Amino acid sequence: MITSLIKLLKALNSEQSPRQLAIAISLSTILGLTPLYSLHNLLILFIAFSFRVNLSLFFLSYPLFALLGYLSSSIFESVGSFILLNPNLVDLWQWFFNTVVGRWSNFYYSGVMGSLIVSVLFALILYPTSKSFIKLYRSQFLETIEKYQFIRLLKTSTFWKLYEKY
Amino acid sequence: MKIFRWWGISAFFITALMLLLSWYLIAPIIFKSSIESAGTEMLGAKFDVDQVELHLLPLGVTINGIAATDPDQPMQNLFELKTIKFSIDNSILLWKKILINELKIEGIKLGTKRKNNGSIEKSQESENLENSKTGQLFNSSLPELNKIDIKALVDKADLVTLKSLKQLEKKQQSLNKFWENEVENSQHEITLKEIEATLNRLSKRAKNNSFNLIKDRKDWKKLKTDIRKERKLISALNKKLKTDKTELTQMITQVKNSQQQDLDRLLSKTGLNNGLSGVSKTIYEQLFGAHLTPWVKKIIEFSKHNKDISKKQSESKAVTYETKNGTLIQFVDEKKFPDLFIKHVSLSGKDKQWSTFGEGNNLGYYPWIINKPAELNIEIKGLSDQSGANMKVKSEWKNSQEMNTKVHTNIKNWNIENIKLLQSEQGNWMINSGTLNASLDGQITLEDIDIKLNLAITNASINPPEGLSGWQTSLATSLADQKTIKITVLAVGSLNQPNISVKTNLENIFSSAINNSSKKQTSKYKNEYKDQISRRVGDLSKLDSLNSNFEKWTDALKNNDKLLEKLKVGL
Repeated sequence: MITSLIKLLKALNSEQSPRQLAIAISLSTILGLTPLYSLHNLLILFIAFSFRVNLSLFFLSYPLFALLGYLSSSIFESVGSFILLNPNLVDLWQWFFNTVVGRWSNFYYSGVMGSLIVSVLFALILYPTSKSFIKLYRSQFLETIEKYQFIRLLKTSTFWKLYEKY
Repeated sequence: MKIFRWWGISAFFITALMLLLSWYLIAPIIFKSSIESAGTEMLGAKFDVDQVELHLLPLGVTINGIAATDPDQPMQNLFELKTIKFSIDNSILLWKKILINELKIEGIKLGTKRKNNGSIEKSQESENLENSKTGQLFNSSLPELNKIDIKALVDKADLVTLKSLKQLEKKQQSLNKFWENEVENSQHEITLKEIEATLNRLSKRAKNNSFNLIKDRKDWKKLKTDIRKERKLISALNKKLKTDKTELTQMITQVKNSQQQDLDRLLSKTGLNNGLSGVSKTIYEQLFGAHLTPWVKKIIEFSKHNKDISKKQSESKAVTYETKNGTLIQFVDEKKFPDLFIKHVSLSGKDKQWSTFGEGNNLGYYPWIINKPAELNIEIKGLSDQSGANMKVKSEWKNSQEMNTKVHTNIKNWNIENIKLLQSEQGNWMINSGTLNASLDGQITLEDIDIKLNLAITNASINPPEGLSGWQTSLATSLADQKTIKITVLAVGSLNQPNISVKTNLENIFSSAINNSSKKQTSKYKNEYKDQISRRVGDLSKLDSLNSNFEKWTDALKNNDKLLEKLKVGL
């Protein structure tokens, strides 16, 4: 059973490049900040599973963004209302509302629309930022952290040895 | 470099499938819970559902074992339904709309016994809200003197008498100031003395030499003019004096009358303004109004709500609604189909005493999109007697701004048991048994309401609660002798401010019960109010003396005028 668990962890951690990690964080932003049971999140999950994205980081960062989303819900509502009620865009939303996808997407809820717009913008900003941060971390701080007693202790554990083996 | 993670794609679809299967298994539990909580909230008592089944092909729902508790009798159900069955059109569901071709409700039973208590614990807040919505409870409504602080009530009240008194004092002060200035004005005295002196001087000169009459003719002319002027002034002052006196007298009268106004106003708050009949009317309107008018108010609220929505929808491309999931922006739906449409409903049921059947057509939301009148007919027939009830509702929407709903309900020879007639502090006044005949006829549009409800309970056996005292004991005795109870509820007028009135043949019973028991008390109560108002307002007996100065001023003006007349004659 431990072997299976390790194999699963390996699979989840298989995509380790800064780009893959950064995409994972960006996708997790959208999943976390928007209401979970929204149509667009199916697409996000499909992308996360189908493309080489680091799934561990994707799932681990979700709760953080979900909390942030919960705290920012009133801001999302305001943004959503502003966008949906904009006279220049009403015709566009009207057209989208009369499609099957539009009807089931719940985009006409100001919270959904607002959170989607904000999360996409946030994700676009977060991608290059987190990518740079990961590169910086690996080049500057990783060596220092590996010297910590706790990390050295962890690396001597049986679980770590099995993980490295597989 | 590989882009796709094939095992990930498989994992995604497998997970999605498992979630769908789980949803299929869990959904009936969620639906059951949702129906129960919505039903309980609406009813104010437990709404139980035994089981919900989902069918995929065709897509449909079966709900088994519904029991709705009677909120007034928690050990009894208002109704029980054996099954509700319906299937949903898939193609319409794609647009998030529900089309039900046929909804079958089977096994309706009325007034069945429950195994467990169906009441729910209400929070204090919701109970207060309910009490405020349904009006005051019948709380031995004659205000007991030892329970009400009349002094405090009067002290808090905005008395008209005090306002009028203040205005009177202000006026009197200003008049005093003016007239004392005018009458005792040294300028007038100086003028009079000058005139007198001039006359004496000119008369002496004329006496010494008659030719001085010609020499001084201009002075004589001026003297005449001055006298005339002064007399005119005195005449004007006299007129003003009369006007001011009249005005002050009127204000004094107003202050005296204001006391009665204040008394009437304070008494009307307790229903005593029309004497004891005012109390009884207030009481029975509160009682029956509290029972019967909430359902009228619900109909009005529902119609107003529909009117607001239909108006919003017709005015704007994007309409905003607040929902429990947040703000929803409703765009114009080009699929001109209602969100929920039930083409046909059939109801049936039977138990030992009644059989029920009914049908409905074109029920849906929003009703103005359906383009057909919604109808619902329900009939209940007694199996062993001549009792029966039928209800017909027909609602037509020409467009979102024009609605006409007609209601006609008839209840005939319906034997009733353990029905609450009134509710008081001591408990419920129950009708143990009786025969109910009732009719409800009415019409509602988006502007007006016109509904009339007639209730007649014959051979009524009324059971009052224990612990009654005073006039309520007389009431209980009189009610026991009353064989027929008739109540008429009318709701007429505009939807925004309808006139809701309740009339009953029990009014006389209330009046005499209150009269017999409480005459002395209410009279004492009235006198106490009078005394407290007098205490606050003060002694008004000296008001008339405010007029006394006018005599003095009138005399002063008269004297001046007489003097001038004498001088004029002397000319």
